[in-house]
Amino acid sequence: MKAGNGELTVFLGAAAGVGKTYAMLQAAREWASEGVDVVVGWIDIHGDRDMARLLQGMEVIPPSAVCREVSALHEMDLDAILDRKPELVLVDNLEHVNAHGARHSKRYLDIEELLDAGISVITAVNIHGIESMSDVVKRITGISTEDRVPDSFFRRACMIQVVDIPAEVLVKRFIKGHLDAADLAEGEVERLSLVDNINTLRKMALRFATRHVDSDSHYADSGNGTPEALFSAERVLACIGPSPFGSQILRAAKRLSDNMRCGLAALYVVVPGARLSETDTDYLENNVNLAEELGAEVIQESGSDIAATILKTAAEINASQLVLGRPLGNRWKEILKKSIVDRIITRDKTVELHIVPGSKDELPRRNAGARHSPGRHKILQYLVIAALIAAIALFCKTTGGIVDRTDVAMLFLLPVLYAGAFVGVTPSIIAAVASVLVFDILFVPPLYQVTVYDINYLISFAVFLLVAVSTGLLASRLRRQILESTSAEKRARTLYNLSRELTVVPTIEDFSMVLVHQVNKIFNMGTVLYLPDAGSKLKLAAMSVNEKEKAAIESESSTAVWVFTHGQIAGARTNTLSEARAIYFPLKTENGVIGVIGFAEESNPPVTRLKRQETFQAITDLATLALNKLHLSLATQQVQSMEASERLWNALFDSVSHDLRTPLSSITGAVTTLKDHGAGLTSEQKSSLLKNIEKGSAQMNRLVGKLLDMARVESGSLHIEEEWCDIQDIVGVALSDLSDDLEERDIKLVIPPDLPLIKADFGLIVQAQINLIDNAIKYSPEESEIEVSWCLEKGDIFASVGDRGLGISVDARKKVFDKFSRLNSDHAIQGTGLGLSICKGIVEAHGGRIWVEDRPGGGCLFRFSLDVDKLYPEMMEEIERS
Amino acid sequence: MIMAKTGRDGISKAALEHPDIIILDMGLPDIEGLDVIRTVREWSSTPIIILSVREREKDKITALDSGASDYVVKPFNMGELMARVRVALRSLVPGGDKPVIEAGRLSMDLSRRVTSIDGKEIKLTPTEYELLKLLATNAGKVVTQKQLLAHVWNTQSMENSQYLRVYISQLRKKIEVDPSNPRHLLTEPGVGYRLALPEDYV
Repeated sequence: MKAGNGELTVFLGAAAGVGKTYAMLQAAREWASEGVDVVVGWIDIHGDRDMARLLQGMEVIPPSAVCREVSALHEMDLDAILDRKPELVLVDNLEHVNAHGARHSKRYLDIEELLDAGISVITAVNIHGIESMSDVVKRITGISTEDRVPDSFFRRACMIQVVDIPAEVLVKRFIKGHLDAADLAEGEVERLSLVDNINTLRKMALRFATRHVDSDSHYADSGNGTPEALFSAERVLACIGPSPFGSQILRAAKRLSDNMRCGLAALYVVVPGARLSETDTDYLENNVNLAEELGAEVIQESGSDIAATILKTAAEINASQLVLGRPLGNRWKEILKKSIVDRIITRDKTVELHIVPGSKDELPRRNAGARHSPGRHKILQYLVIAALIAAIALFCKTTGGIVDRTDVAMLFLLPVLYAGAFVGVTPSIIAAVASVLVFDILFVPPLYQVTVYDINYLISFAVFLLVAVSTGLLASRLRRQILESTSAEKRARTLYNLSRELTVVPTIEDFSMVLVHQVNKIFNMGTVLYLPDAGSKLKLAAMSVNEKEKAAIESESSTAVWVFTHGQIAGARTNTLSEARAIYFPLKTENGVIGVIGFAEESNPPVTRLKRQETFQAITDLATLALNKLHLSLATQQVQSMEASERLWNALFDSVSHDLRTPLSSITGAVTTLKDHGAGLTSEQKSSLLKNIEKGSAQMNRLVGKLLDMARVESGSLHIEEEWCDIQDIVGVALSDLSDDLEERDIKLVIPPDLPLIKADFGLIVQAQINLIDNAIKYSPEESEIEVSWCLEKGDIFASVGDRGLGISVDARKKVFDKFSRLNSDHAIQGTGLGLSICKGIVEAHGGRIWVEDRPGGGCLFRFSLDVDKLYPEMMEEIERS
Repeated sequence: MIMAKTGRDGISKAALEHPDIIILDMGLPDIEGLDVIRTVREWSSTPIIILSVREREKDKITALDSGASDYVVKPFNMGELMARVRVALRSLVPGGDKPVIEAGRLSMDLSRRVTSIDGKEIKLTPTEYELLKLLATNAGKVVTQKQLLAHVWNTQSMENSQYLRVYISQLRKKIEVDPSNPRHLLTEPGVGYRLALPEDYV
């Protein structure tokens, strides 16, 4: 993607009403007066008269309506601005969240696209609209907002200008109602009216701007590159997980890294075997997204010991500051098992730990409901465990004293093991407790009571319970690991199979079809592929989606085009064009985007979102590789075929220059003789010269005809015009065309009277017939017999032309149909070596076959078959009668 | 003899000088040969003979169906062109609708519906007769398959071309000495048929 060169200026204010919009308008006017081409992309002046005056004479791009079912919401008209292409555009309310259905979900993404297009932007935002500040603002003011701009966005700003007024003035403004009251959230006035709070916000705004200036010198020479590389080597590492506290950890870490002016990384440790619930996945995904928005490098590591993995990663990326969360609740768990924080402290004394006290953060639920309920399957499993326990109890009871009590206890471990291995941790614990109870009641005296006489049994129970629980836990962990590795292996195998299928396709069309159908089949999701045509215009190449969604997916080509031109992911579940039904990935290579693939998943897919994203990316990478390889191999093929066609051209030039010049020289010779010595020639000599001219002209005409025929066959534009043909007519026309050459020849015709009509191209079949007879004339002694025959054998039409020439050796038989191949290259025989090759083209275009064989009695027999529709005389009669 | 180097020039000269016959090369530098035919046909029935090449059968058919009288394939010899011109001019002579048509060995008495070869009467089915009659009244001139189908079978559809093949084949058996090497009923590949006049062999 092309690097954006638009400049970004941000006007930052502590709260609404400080006069950001006014300041912005003033700045815009100043630029305009300096001759800069300024337009207003979005502004809301709340009916303010001063601002209205400033706005006069400025070009305003009217907002466009975003189509919704109920009412039309208006958003900045991004496309109109891009088309208008001003030097500078003014866009107010940077933190604005776009209406559903707009191209990007947030306004700052619109602005990024403008900057990428080389358009400079001035915009305005309040301090609470900045991601890393929102926590603090919330704590101070109680205002919480969804409209937040990630910190990474501000890196693009070349200037952050703080619009500041004394707190008292701002409070007065509110009270005087100088501002439109409707503009403000209701509670905002009350809370903000506290001068102290306003001052805190002002300080934050100033500090934010200062930090930006501090790092400005670093950014200056880096453009929009990743600033991490330019930071001091130290880094802050935020440890996140599938928890609701992740966002707080991340924002704290961001503030820390900003203050220390060093890079930020976020680590998520995947514990092999740990299963995430739907809610956990949502939290995790949210945290990862937030980390990316805050400009953190997101690292994913796997390890069963979280503390060790965190420390290892910290050492690797040189992070000495760790930010962790300490979740509330689960105290007993912490006592039983040392918390991660404790373990890190005991293991490493060099890192600095920052603990964020966890408080539950609200999580925007994407799809409520759809939580797993213990299905019928689980209930069945519990029943099996219960049945097992009952069976063992019954068995031991009925066999009386045969089984020792210790052995009975051992037997009761079986259901626990089963539960652990096949069901889960909780069932295995339940099974353990149940087993102990049953054992106690049925086998330990006093029977049928929970109480025991012998104190020793209590120890036995405890040991049993301990053994049972740990066995169950181990077994269930093992089971999860097996499941995990099986599903990973399955995924790897399917991807491998897909890649194998994709590497054997010969053409782009096949590739497209195989890709979409295989992906749909294997991963069970609608797939659509767009590829650019010769003019680099994106076209739908193939799609495999169910009938219901076909129209919806087809209408999304504009999304695919956006992905193609921007090289970024867009569509469903992304921030760009999220209205789309499918998610679109660019097929990116070093030479740019070579296509776009879209996946339309079912609404409730069986795998988690992160895994799906991984799968999509894996398929996309695979498709990119395969397509790139295909492009390369096609390019190689083209070079080869160009070489072949060059060889052909050389042969053609040799042949044509010889064969055209021979008759031409005889014509020229005759004409010059007649012109210079005409007076002294006898009338016989004259007529002989004239005959030479006539013959030479005819030869040239025939050659030109053959070259044209060859060109038609070669160019693949041999268009078959089918009509009903009478075979006798074919032969008749061919013979009359050759009548001059056949004068001294004995032609034997074998054409049965009951041959059917054939549906073929009359002109082409006649040409094939002419070429074969012509060939026979050339390569057999004068006055020898030539046989032309047609016949019907087993429902197929065969034609043959036999001569009494020298015949053709077995080796040479295949080559005679090649272009410019002439037997023993005897230049005494007039010919181009094209005739038979044209025949082959014509016959094959009719689905037939041509070959040559020995003719009984000497010479050779050229034969061809035609796979064409036939109309028998008796069928004709029937049709006529009816 | 009037010469015109472009299609537009040809149209205006045809209008001003009223030639007896127009010989039109289909490869014109300015406009399509077909447009010349159509324009001239709007106000004139002057016979038009077109010069075409073997490879463009479709052009010939379109030209003939648009009102051209006949065609000659390039390269051609003078005798061939003159024969076509003679045939085209003859149809203009008043009283051309003679009741008896003679074409070489063949003679057709239209008033008595009698067809004979070398003076010997031959029996034709009604369809064969209609077919031969159309070819005979246009003797020397090409008749397109479409025209034959329209006249004899009342159909424009080329789907029915099989009937034409069968009847031509039957006619050849009755009037030709060697049906594989016809002398009277000639096939014009891809275009149609022509009943040859003796001067065609000149």
